[in-house]
Amino acid sequence: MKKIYILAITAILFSVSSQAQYLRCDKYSKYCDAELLDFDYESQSAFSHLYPGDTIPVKTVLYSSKEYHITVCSEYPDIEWKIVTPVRKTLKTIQEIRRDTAVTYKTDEYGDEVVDEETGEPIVESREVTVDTIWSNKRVVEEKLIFSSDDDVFWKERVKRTKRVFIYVILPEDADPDGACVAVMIGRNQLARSRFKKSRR
Amino acid sequence: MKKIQIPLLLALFGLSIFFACNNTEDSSLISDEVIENSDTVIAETPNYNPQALFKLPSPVELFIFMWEDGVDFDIENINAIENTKKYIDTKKKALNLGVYSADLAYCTVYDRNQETMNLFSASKSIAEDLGLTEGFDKSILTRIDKNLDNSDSLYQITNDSYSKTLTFLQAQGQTKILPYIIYGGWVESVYIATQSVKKYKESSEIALRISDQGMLLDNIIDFFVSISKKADKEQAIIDQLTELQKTYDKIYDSEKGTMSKEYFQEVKTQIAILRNEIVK
Repeated sequence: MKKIYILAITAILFSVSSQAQYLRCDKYSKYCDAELLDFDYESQSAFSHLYPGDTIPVKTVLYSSKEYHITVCSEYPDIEWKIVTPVRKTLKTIQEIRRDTAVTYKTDEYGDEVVDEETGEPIVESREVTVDTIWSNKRVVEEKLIFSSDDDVFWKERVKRTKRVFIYVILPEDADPDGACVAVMIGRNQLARSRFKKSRR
Repeated sequence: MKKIQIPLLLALFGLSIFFACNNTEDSSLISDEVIENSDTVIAETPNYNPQALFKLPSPVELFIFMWEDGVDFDIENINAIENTKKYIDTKKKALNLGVYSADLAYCTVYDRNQETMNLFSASKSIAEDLGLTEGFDKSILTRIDKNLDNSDSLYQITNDSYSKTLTFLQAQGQTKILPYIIYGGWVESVYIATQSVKKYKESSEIALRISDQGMLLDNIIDFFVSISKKADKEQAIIDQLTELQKTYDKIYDSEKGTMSKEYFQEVKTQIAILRNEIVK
């Protein structure tokens, strides 16, 4: 009994996020078009209040071998949303090319520089030019679309490989000028209930 | 467009790395000129996204993965209860509330009842110091006790508690402590995971889960970057986390994409440094 109690308290502590201003919007699951399944939506779901034209990304991580059900609920029925996964890439581009020249002068058998009789200048034997290319190695993120609300009202998948996802929620311009609450419902196949389902090795 | 009154959270999409290397193989000779090419790679300014919400999986999930994988419990991995008296300022208290909460989750998952109760007392004490009593009040506990057999209700109660905690924090103007609690908890959970590995095996479940933490790290860095716009004092944490991120980058960029023993050791060492700095 204590165990569940402590887990619940722990969950409280780790559920905190940057959404404190939107507490009035935290019960908007009732507006869900998609049925909420027997998943745990509490630990990773997010709530917000948007005004027409606003877009808000919710950034989270989905663990591999877990099944997730994601949907967005809102007072505004035609809320638009999509899920993208960031794909990391490294771009290498030339930022600057630096040239440094090292000149070697002709010398006689005693090691002294030989001077041109007409100009009085030392005679150049060779020039070594060092070219240092300054590369910019930039870590960039390209976003790959994995779901759009144009296709369905929910996304459900057993994640094969742990991934970061960004869920973008857009309240269209023609929505009520007072805005609308939105709930990004991120459900994971039950943690507490599945906890000891799987036997320990 | 009417703008909502929220703290605008900036997200860091990517962090650049800085390193230099010399490439002498491209040398060529033109007339009497010897051309020597060398490459220097420098960092670029990260990109920011001006508005985002960040959500992390709980450390409980990591401990359950460990438990399922047969990883043994080790009491030496948790922070000593006696340390609570060392934490005087708000930042330190918030960081270690995260630490003790992760320890609490660890002991709970592993059925260590005595340690669990001790840690609960320590967490509760720090939480009260931070003004987080709303998340720990008796009515919430009574509701939890009454709904122990009903997971849905339990989660609902937890969510209510969460809302109450946030409301209270917001009213007190203490929302700044949130990232510290999350950071402390995450570092402690990864510390426990890395310290629990006695014989490293690249293909093990725990290796996979420690490797996964790089993505949580990205989110935490984003979160700190968002608040650092308001207070530069978070820059030191961002710098430390960015160093750790470079190690994770090497894992992602490696041919196999898995965490080699060498990279595991790097992560383990870096996490231990961060954790020891938090709990000292």
